[in-house]
Amino acid sequence: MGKVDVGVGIWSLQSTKTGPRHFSYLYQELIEDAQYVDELRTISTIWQTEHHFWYDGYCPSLLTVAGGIAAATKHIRIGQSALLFSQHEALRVAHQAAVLDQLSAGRLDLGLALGYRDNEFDGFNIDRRVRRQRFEEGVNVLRRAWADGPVNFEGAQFSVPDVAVTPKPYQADVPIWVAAVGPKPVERAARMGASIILSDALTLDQVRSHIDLYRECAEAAGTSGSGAKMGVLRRGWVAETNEEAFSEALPSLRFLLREQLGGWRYLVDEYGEPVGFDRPSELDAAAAKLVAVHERTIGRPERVVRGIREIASAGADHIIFGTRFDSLPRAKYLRSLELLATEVIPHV
Amino acid sequence: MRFGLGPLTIESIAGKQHVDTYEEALEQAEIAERWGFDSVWVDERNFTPGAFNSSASVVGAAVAQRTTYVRVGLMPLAGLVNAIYVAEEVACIDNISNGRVIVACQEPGERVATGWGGDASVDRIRDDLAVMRKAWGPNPFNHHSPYHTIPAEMAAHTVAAGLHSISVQPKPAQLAVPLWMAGTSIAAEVAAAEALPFFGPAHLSLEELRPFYSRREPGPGEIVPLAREVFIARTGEEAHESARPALERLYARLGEPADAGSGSFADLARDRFVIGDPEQCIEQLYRYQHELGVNYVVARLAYHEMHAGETARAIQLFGQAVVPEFRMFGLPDEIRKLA
Repeated sequence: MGKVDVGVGIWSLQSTKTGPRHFSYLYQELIEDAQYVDELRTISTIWQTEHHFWYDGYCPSLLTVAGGIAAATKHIRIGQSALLFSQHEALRVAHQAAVLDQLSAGRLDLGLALGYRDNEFDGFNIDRRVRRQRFEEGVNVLRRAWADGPVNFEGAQFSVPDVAVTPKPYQADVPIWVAAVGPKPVERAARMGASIILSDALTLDQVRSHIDLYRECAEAAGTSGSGAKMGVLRRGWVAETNEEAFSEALPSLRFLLREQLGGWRYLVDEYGEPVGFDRPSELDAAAAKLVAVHERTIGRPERVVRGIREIASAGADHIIFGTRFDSLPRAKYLRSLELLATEVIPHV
Repeated sequence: MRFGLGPLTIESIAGKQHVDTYEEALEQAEIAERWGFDSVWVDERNFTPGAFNSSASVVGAAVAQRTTYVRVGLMPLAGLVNAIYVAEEVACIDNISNGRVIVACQEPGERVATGWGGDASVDRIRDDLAVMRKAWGPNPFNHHSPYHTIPAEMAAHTVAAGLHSISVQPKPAQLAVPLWMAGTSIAAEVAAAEALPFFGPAHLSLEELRPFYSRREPGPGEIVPLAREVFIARTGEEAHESARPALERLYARLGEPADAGSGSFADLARDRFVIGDPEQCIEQLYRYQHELGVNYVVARLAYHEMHAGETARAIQLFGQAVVPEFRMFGLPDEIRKLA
């Protein structure tokens, strides 16, 4: 087991039904949270998450909001888990990412996903069926935009003329992360030599097989020397005792997995079909299965250390510790973050 | 009269790391807030050899975070992408700043000139404004025009079937985000058609601006904004000595106005740049107030060619010696002289 970095996430800025807040309060809280984790120093990255047109205000503009995080912090890296890249204009993302990387002095970890909600593609007038093509062409646009010289890209989805994008990013090679639930994006990321972020809907065995798949594909594609990171999103919570951690976090975790992921049709059954509110008993089963997965990173510090080591032994070298649950008191999650930074990460 | 700082350019300067220029710009925003400015402005330019800032949204969010009271002026290019992206970004920044955003959409001349995407027409920009206003409004909406189809209601999007509207989230903190139009003839036309403030650019002279400002009589209390290159020092000589090389090189990089390089600096500066000691700056600014009806000046003041300390002194001096002249109606002469 090599070195494991631990980041925290995932900030969504939702004003939910059970925890309604003024949006300015939520954005101010994000900035304060970012400053808090920035000072803890052992936490490597703060991760954001994106959706559009969702009833509770789920944050739609990650690179913009990251500008605020960058201005508030000095050390911590800023990542997206994930920016729904197929729903964006690739060249606009290239500009914004470059500016953000300059503004943050090279602290951007650009996390990209396909996106999956029909409502979002429909709102942007983008056919969901071309999302893979948009994604792959878009990554080409990004890489050409950040390299020296003109972009000059002609694809089916994007056409960029002979123009040079300015400014260039601060980092010579901005890390690109690809979010993945199934094997296809893992293969895609491996071909690109990009890092991956494996979904919180995956069991440990699935994580292991995805990482093995990545390595095989990277070997075949000749990208295995790219230095790509194997990231895993896990929900987690640290308290002084296991009982305290369970009683604080589990009800919120159950709610998150059932009500929210169910509403998004993010969970899938064994055939890969989305499980939503239309299939309540399967939704309960899928959520219960995932609670068991995430329970292993919920508890007192020693238990969470073991849980993180377990994920690392499956081949992961970056854990996104998802400690932002709806409607938990802020003092409690700041305490969880502090314990993570001081009692967990140094012992992983 | 009200005053803003900017638009911040944040370009790449020989002898300075670009990353330091970004930090310098955020510090300038903080200094402007400290010395009583009303706003700080961020624009965006793309594909520029000088590598000017290319995202008003990303830097605007940073300015919003670093400041508490000043308004954050955002100058996104209009007409290029689905206006929902801009609407979402503005809403986020409005919440980061707790309701301090002003948006001055820019006509997208330079990007259209490069052949990339978009449409700089009056109709397209008005359509973008309509989408943004609907997106910021309290109700779900749809929008069908030659430029936007929201929502698309594609048969392939089965989960979205039957939804004839969308709701852009989050909503801005403000009930209505103030909208201005920045640019030249297209912007002036859009501003007139939409009854929005026209925000004249710094590179046009007083004479060139006149037709744009005479198009429409502003309503009672309406903002009449103008951007100007401004530099101030204790003496006029000192101000010119500092401003001249910085402005000459800035305008060479901007390529604006087209004949910038052909005449002398004095020709370029005349009736265009506001440079001098406090009295000279006041006198020049009164002309814009009297002749164009301007009541909101966005003064650049921040030039990255200069030492950051020199810029800081200029922002402070402008705040202490020029702003009160226009803001403090009835300022007794005895107090005025103290500046």
